[in-house]
This record gives sequence, C-alpha cells and structure tokens, in this order.
Amino acid sequence: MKEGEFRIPSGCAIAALIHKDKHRENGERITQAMQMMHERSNGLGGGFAAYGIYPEHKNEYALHLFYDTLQCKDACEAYLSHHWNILHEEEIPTKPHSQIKDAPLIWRYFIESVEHDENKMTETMFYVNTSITGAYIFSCGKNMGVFKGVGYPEDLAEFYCLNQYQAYTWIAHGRYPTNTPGWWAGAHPFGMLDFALVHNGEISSYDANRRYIEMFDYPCSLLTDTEVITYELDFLMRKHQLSFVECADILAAPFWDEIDQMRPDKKRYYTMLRRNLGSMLINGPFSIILGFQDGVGAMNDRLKLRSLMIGEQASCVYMASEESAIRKMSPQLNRLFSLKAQEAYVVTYEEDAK
Amino acid sequence: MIDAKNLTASELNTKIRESDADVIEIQNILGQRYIANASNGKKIKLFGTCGNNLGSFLDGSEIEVFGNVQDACANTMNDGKIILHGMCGDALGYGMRGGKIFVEKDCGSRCGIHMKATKTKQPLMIIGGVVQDFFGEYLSGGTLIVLNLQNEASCCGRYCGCGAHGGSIILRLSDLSQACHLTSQLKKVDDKKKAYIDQALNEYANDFHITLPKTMDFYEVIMQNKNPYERLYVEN
Amino acid sequence: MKKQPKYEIIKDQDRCDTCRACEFQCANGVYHYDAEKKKMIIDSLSCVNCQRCVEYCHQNALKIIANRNEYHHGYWQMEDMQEIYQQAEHGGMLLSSMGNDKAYPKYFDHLLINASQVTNPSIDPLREPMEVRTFLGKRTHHITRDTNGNIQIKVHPHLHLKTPILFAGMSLGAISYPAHQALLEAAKALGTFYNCGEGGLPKAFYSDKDSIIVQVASGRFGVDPTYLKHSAAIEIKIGQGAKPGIGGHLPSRKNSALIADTRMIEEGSEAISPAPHHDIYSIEDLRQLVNSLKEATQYEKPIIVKVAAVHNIAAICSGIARSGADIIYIDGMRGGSGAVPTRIRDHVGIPLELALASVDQTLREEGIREDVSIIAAGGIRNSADVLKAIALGADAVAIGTAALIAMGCHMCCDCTKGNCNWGIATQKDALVKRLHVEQAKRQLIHLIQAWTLELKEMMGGMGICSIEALRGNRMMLRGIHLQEEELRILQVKHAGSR
Repeated sequence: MKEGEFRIPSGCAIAALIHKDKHRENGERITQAMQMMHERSNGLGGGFAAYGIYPEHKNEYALHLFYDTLQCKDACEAYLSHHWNILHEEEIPTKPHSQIKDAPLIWRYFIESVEHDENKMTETMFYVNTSITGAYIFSCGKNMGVFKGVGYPEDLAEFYCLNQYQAYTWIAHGRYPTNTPGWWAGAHPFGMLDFALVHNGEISSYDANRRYIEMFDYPCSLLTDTEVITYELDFLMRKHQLSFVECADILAAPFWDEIDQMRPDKKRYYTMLRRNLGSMLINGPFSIILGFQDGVGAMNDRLKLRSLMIGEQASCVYMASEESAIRKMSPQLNRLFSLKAQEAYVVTYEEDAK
Repeated sequence: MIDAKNLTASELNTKIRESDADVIEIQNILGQRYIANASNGKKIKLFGTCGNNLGSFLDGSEIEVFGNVQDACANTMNDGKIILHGMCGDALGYGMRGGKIFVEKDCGSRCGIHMKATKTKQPLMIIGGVVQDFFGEYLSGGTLIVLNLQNEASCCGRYCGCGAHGGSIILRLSDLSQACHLTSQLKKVDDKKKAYIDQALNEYANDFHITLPKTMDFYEVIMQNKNPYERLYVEN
Repeated sequence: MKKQPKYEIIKDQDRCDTCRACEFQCANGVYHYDAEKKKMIIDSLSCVNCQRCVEYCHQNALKIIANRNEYHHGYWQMEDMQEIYQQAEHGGMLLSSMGNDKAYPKYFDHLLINASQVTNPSIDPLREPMEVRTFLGKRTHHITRDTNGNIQIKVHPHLHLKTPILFAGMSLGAISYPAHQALLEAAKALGTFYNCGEGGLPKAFYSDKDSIIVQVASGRFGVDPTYLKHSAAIEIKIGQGAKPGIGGHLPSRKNSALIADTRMIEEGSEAISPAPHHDIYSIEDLRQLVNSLKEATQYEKPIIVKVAAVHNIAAICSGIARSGADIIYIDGMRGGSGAVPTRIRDHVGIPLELALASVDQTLREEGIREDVSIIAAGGIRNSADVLKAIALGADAVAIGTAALIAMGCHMCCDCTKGNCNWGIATQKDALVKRLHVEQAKRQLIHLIQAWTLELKEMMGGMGICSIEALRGNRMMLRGIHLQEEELRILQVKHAGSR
C-alpha cells in the first residue's frame, strides 16, 4: 500500500537557516545541522527546501516532479503543456548514493507565470497529484524548490548535489516514520506555491482538521500532518490574508481558562477566532517551520510538547529541534532561545535585500 | 583532556568509564547524547553543547557543564551532582530521586516532573533563571527552587506544580507579580525551610562563584491535591 | 383470549413481614393485604415491572421476572401472538412508551476508541487543561478587517455549554412538574440547557431563561412572544426519533389545570400535536418559519431544528442547513416518548449513528458543515456513546431517557397509564409528590459530572485536549464486527486496519 492510503505516524528533526539580507550559500551548513540530529530520524525520509536557487527563472514557476515511469511522465507533460507554457524542462541532477535506493524519475519544469495564476497552479498541483497516477508535483513555487526522498537527510543532500545550489534560506527535515513509506512524495517538506513546511510531532486532531479543510477543496491525498497544516496556513494566509502570527492565534489558540482571564479586547478577539475557526485548532505535539515568500515562520503547540530552538547571529537566523544543530551551523550566537508554547516567531527579509 | 570532536556518545562514555583521572575534562562537545549515563564515582567537566539525556540515571558522579544542555537532562537521576553554567532545555530531572542539580540560567518546560524522595534521599534542584510551563508537575518529593536572579517579569510558566502532592516548590520573588502565571496559593517559607534553603544556596553560590542578594524572599507553592483520586471513582 | 400477565412476581414468603409497603407503593393495585389470611395477595396482571416495590421492600423479598408461562413457535414469538390477540379483541393500534426495544444493531457498541501511545502522547485531564466547553451555533470563516486592521469575524447567536451534554425536550404533561424543576435546576448548575418540550414553559421558570431552550412544535402549545423571549434558544420540533412522521396526543385525562395553563389551552381538552407543522410542507417553508422566529426575537437567539433520523436524513439536513437554522438536532430511532404507536416506535426511523455519520459527511462534502452545529440524540447511554457521537460528527448530544433513569425511571415503558410510581410520567398528585426535586436534581448533576469526567479521561487518552479536535475525528474510531457498507457509511476503518 502507498502512503496516502493509510496514515503513517512519525517523529522527526527540523532545521532552518535564514539570511535576512538574502545573501546566498550552498547546502553544506544545513546538511551538517541535519547530520547532527541524525538520531531523530530513521532513514526513511528526509528533505530540504531552498529559496533563491533559480534567480534566472525567478518569475517562473519551478515545478519539481516525481514520476514512477516514463509513461507517467508523458501523461503528466501532456496535461501540463495543455494548461501552461513550459519554458524549460530537465531532469534534476542527482548523484548515485549507496544509501539512496529506488529513486523515481525526478524532473523540473520552468513554467511561465502571469498575474493571479496561483489558484490555477494549485489546481494543477491537486489534479496531477490526485488524478495522474505515478506523477507527483512536490514543489511549485518561484525561485525556490523542495528536494526530498526516502533516506537520511544528509544522504539526500549528497544525492541531490545540494552544495551546487545557492539559497538564502534552507529548511530541512529528517523523518522517523513508523512504517516504510517507500514513496518519495510522502517525505517532507510539503511544498505548495511559495510555502514549504516542515513539522515535528504527530497531531491528534488530524482527522478533524482534515475534514474541515477538505471542504475548501484541498485534497488531503498524503494523509500527513504536514499536508493538512500547510493547507490550513494556505487557507488563512493566502486566501484570507492573515499573518503568520494571526495563524498561531487560531492553530495554537490559548486555552479557555486563559482567555477568560484576558482583558476585554483580547478576550473578544480570541473568543471570536476560536468560536468560528475551532475546527482548525491543532491538538497534539507540533513544532513547525514554514518558508514563504516574505520570510520564515516558526510555531509551537500550546503545551510545548516538542522542542524548537532559535539562534541569531549577525543577519542570520537559525532554527532547529536541538541547540547542537544550531551550534554546528554557527558556533557563535548573539542570542539563543527556546520558542515558547503557542508562540509564533517570524523572520522577515530585509526591505532592500535582493 | 578528551576531545569530543568526532566521537560518538558511546565512545565518550567508554572513555569516561575507563578514565582514572581525578577530574575528567571533555572539550568540543556538540550534541552528543547520553553522556555520563548511570555514571558513578567520577568528576567530569564538560565543555560545549551537551545533547539530550545528559547524566540520565546518574548514580553519584559530579558533572560540571560549561555550555548549554539540551532536553531530558538527568532523567531518573539517582545520586550525584550536576552544575550547569548555562541554560537547559525541556524535561530536566524527570523522576529524579536523589542528588543535586544547580542551573545558572533558564530552563525549559516540564522540569522537575515527578521527582520523589525517601527518608534517606532527597533530590534538590536550584534554577538561577526562570522556568517555563509545567514546572514540578506530579511532584511527590524533593525540593525545587527558582531564583529568577534577573528579576524577569515572571519566574515560572503556567501549570506550575499541577498534580504535585509532596515535596516543595519554592519561588524567590522580589515582587508577587512575578508569580502571575501561578494558579495555586503561595505561603512564605517557615524558618526551618528557610534554614535548609540558605544552606543549599550557600553551596550554589560557591559553585557558581557568585554573590546572591542579601535579602531574598522565598515563597512556597501550596500543594492542592494530597489525594487527588479520592472522590473520583465509584465501584461498578 | 384471556389476557396474560407480562410479569410474574416472586415473593420470598420467609422474608416477607407483611409490612404492606409494596401495597402502599404500587399505584397499579398489584398488592393487597388479606387480613384473614394475614398475607399479601398478588395480582400480577396489573404489574408493569416498574420495580418500585422491589426497591421499597425493606426485606428484599421481591423479585419480578418475565411471566414463565410460555408458548411460542420458532418464528411466531409469544409477543407476536399476544399482540394479535389484543388487536383482535380491541381493533385499535398498539400503544407503547419509551424507545425502540428491538434487537437492531447498536452501532455504538461496534465502535472502538483510540488511545495515544509512543508516537503521540496521551494527556492527563487531572493535571493538564482538558477543554469540553462547547458552542452551538453557526460558525463562519468570512474574515474582514476594520479600519485599524483588526480581524473581524461575526460571532453568530449561540449557546455556550460547559459540557457537550444537554437535556432533551420532554413535555410537561408527558412528565411531571418536579421532573421539569429538577432538569432545569440541574442544567443551571451544570452550565448546560433544559428544554421545556412541547408543553409550554411554566411561568415560575421565566427568570432562568438563560438556561432554557423552548420548543415550537406543531401544536404550538404555550407559544407566545413572552414564551419565545424567555429562552436562550428556540427549537422548532419537526419530529422525534421515537415516532417519525406522526404527531402526538396528550389524552384529556392527563390535561390537568397545570398542564392546560402552561399549554395555554382549556383544561380537560384533547391536546393534539399534528404530524407536520401545517405551515411547513416543503423545505422553503421551514426557512420561512426560521426567519419568522428570528424576526420575532430580533435575531438574538439561535434557532434549533429537531428532526427524526429517517432514510433521507442527509438531504433533509442539507436543506435545514441552508434554511438559516443555527443548530440541527438529530433524534435517532432509539429516542423515547411518553406515548407512541408500537409499530412506529419499533419500525420507523434509522439508528442515530448512521444518520449522524451520513449527515456530517454530506454537509462537509457540500462545504456547509460549519453553517450549523449538530446535536445528536436517541439512545445515548453513557459517556462512551457521547464521545463516539462527537467523533462521528456531532457538536453535542442530548439525553432524555438517560436523564429519566437518573431520576428514578426503571423503564417499565408503561407511561401511557399515567400511573408512574416514580413520580415522573404521571400527573397524579399523590404520585408526583414521590419525586423529590432536590434529590432528582442532585442525581442529574452527578450523572452529567461523572460522564464529563469520563469524557475528559478518554479524550486525554487519545491525546486530545480540546473538544473541537474530537469533532468529526473519525480516525479516533475503529469498527468491529461491521460490514463493509456499514464501515463506509460510518467512514470508519475496521479495527486492526491501518
């Protein structure tokens, strides 16, 4: 059975490296951070998201796809070319690695974008992923890309030659699933337009959240927490223009006994949100890092059941499940702190950063 | 002196066990877990960022850390001492039943959960900074002291001492508002307890080479549930 | 045909001390003391097995069993034949009370609950926050911002409950005045709601309006603007699980002064609740009534629409959700009633579990699940049923029969006689006096408190700390001993599958 036909609970390691001034570097430091947290994964999944890697194509959609067979590729390309203008296509360069087996075909396409075509792109992604067998779009943003698969993150980094890419933000994930997924698309980060989400924990509210968000035409085909959380954030941030911090007020809303004690305006605000959008409330442990166009956000669940450390040094921000992973990327740090329960932390790129 | 670079946790622990130095010094620690687990009879100095589960099941050794410590340190610690010149993550001292942990700076969530004591063994934990949510949850024995030496706005998070039914949770407050997240009542510590605290803090101040404020007000969290299951069940 | 007694009373002669308590307690005249023979004479033909005498016999000398005089065929059961004898004798419809007692599957008993282990932590409700606070009403995701950039989302009229369990509507007339008092007082203490049923609202209850749901049923008994005003919500009762499609009838003998006054009709008259609301013959008429009530109460109160679970319940609820109603109350076939034709009770309607799962799924597929909250009722027996109902998609549950049992009902199912020995389903003063409000109130409070504790314990066990995360969370249930089609309708996997 494929992932998507049943749910695989998993634990993980997450990390991020962000240059606020959009200075770019290759994937070496982030890979070392993931290597540091090797014990949190079990080799059955890993991945990276990189922002700023396709400056020559920065206004085009960069689609990353997995194909089971060449026939699936043909079917998918027929669909894509019917709806979009494909400007360039190529296989994503990879290097054989002893620990990385059974890789699918991995391709990328640069696609012309016109104004307001985000919904069209998400529809394309949903259609391909639910209806074209053996084809999966796992990244569809601009000037960014997800690289993931079944294996340890550090091995996948080598496999994907991540030291050949220059990115101003790297986000990474190492997975510890309790089942053998075998299917590369199930690995994380989950990519959708400019969003790339990594998540540590297993949420108990999954089915309640899924059955809510599916009402708005988001197909939960992977049955993963990461997928449903990304959809909730897309719904709130892109469709309803909420900020990441406001999303935390919904996804990790305070407890009623705290809300009861708040001053009237805050009480009204939180009650209004929880009263109406309670089906998006997440129960269970989670720490998430979301990459998006204007920056990177991190959020913790209400009971702080997973750890997430944040470090700052010069114009870099580091995030990781463990301090040692941050220290590996940057031994010196101006500031190091643990993200508190319910708290949302956002890094925004500097105005004049290019 | 042991250089931890490129050594795994197991290799480090083997070196610790095999060493007969008076004080074992380990440099360049970065993320190695399980260091000094179940260790006894050693004095160890650690430099760097210690990974999860430092000193779990510690059985009498003394560990001094120059750097930060990650999660689950001193899990089910039985005896010994940990002096931490830095801050630590979540779940410090879970199920600890003996020995002492002194932390210079802040701690994360769920520290001091279900610590327990007997007539002959009493664990002690002193935090120089502040603690987050669920501090001393399920506490059944031992003493926890939060000093908040930096006088932050709040010394502890929510749900402090929830389910605690024995032992003492003691907060140093320069202003009662620093216990704003506390739902339990507080009472000023009695003289006997104050004497115990003073003695413990003397040792603490020595270990960190600091001078503590001359006047310090200590308050103890009043435990709510001595017998939490009393009215809960009816036989079927 | 000689009428056979349904029950047989077994008295331990050695234990009986002829204190005659059984005689004084039995309102059905089963016992009388023969002074000559110095013993109790038992006429079990009148016995309905309400267990009053068994409870009150201080010698524990009494036991009631099914009549051991048996005759039956492999296919034709005794009960089948007896019913034919009765109808052959009288020519009328068989009348029963309470809910469906036939052996249809109890789907709640085929659903197993999850617990968290290893991959996800369970939560201890005694130590950590466990939220069962429930709001019933419309929810919206329509977000705007004011001129200061602050998020604005409309908060629709709603009910605020401290626990997801309400009391179902049972009319004054079907049950006694002290029963109503106990239900109201318990609802107030628990932070939930009492429903006055279709018999009107006693004036003495007006000051407690914030804990009251008033019912607008087809007979419109007691419905006037004052009635509507003294409520937290208004329930349009279209149907109930015990008797889908048919109305109700309070016989004139139960229409006492108090009942008549509360219903705003003449004492001693027949009180008929017609089958349909005669102003609702099509779905758009429902919307009209909903809006009419909202106008009459200035849009301040949520409107509940109560329907029985029937075959096309999903389509019906889809229509209700689009009619402007705020809450849908689905009453399954196990729901109770004071008086209902036996065949309707036992053969009309479908189980709550299937109806609820189907409605929740359909509303989600149509994208309108959040436009209404759902109350599920009809045979909720314990906190496990409550949890399973919420996991299947309900926002809250309502209990009728369980509440009556908590007050002392022993399910003799003979409410129509009006001789309820427990003082619940009767209007006779001597019997009504037996129901002590304080004690009944306390029993109700204890029941709901105990269920709420159990609910929290089970939620914590599955790693959930807020009831919103349980609502519709089908993955927390697994089916056992169910067919594929049943699993499909319930949208639940079989136990053991991934």
